Amino acid sequence: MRLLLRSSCVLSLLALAACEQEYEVIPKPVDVNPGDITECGFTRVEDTKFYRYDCNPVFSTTGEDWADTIRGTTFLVTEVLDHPFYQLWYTGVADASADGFSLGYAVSPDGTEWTPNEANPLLDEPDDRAAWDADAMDGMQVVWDPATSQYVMLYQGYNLDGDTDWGLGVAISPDGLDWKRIGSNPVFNLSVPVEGVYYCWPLGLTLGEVAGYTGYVAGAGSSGHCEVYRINASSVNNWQPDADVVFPAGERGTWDDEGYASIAIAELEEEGRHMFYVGFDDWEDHSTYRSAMHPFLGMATMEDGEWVREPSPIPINMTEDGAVSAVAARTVGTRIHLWVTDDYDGISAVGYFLYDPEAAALEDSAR
Amino acid sequence: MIMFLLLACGAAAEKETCELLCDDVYQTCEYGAYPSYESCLQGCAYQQEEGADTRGLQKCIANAECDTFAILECEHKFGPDAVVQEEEE
Repeated sequence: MRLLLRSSCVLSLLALAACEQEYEVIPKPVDVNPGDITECGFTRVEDTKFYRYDCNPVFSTTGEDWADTIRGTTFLVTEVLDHPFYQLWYTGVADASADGFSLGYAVSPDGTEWTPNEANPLLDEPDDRAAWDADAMDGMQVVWDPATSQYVMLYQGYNLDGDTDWGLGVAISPDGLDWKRIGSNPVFNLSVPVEGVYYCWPLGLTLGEVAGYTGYVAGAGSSGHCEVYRINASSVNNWQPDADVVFPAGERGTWDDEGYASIAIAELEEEGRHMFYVGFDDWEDHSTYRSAMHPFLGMATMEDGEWVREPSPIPINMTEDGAVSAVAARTVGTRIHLWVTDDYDGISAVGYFLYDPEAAALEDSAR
Repeated sequence: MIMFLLLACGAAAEKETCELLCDDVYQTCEYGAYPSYESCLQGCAYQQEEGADTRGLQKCIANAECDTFAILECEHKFGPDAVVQEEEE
């Protein structure tokens, strides 16, 4: 009996020794400082909690022959072993003056260097020249919906032939590569006012707070400015507009008093929800449409159920008069990662930024 | 006795899955997303605690052979969100 016990002890010790690891791993969330994995560092934008990537821009085009000119981008983050990988879908055209467009997909392990998929382009313009979205697919917004195990893309489409068709469409994909436009497109007609709201353009998309999706569109109600409205969806097929203004234009005479060209909403555990937006104060008239003039980046935070804006634009603009055209924002750990489309020496390109209140507080306390 | 040895090695076997995963994504694929091997292991351990199917993830990532597009979909299939979905069903 004693021999048996002794043998058991020896075997147990041997087993423990054999199973022992060289280091102890504590299961806690990883919060990688992006500057530790990117080629260049990040520099704080003075008097803000924003940090600019020192080697901006990080995306203008991929060099693919079908994507000489990029028309729209949308960014997403998927964490693999709790470390972020970045996804980018983009529409492009071979020649800025040519008809037709295509959709591509690229990924990046650090948010700055992008690898396009070899199967690009993944989706082309509709074969039917009369289709409602024959002339464009832009303003795309993508979410991964774990409830239905698919990517959902909301996009703006239009057909400029004859009576202009203009609406929102949905495309779905199980893997980010194989995209199908759903049969009930357009899911929302932007050409027709709803309860006195005339729509300007799509703005954003998030997963719904309970289920489904929440889309955001710019619409002009009685104020005549392009303010933020919700469209709620219980499923990809069923989108219902909400007549209440979510975020009104800035007060008359301020830098964002004509409304918004793009928004992105992201949440930080400590600070709550943040809205990053492209606001503008004037219009430029073209032959068939109007576009925003003097667009800059702004930020608002959710306080007691209301969006409260910062009084001034975030000073990250590349041109004095403002040419910011789009913003995307995704939360990773304690930071919000931002991709801001702006004018880089005459070329529309995407810059990479961080909103990092913890780092800013640390810097300030060390002063 | 065999049961005892199996139990003793149980926790270590879980860690081994993480090591295999990090061998793939950090050492073989050399993804810049991971600042170090230890950071990768920490993330893996955290995901395990959050309910990820790391064994399924490991097989999926090994089969992906450093195809980043495929690896991202492995995470959707076997990561913590996928497990939540199964529980809800």
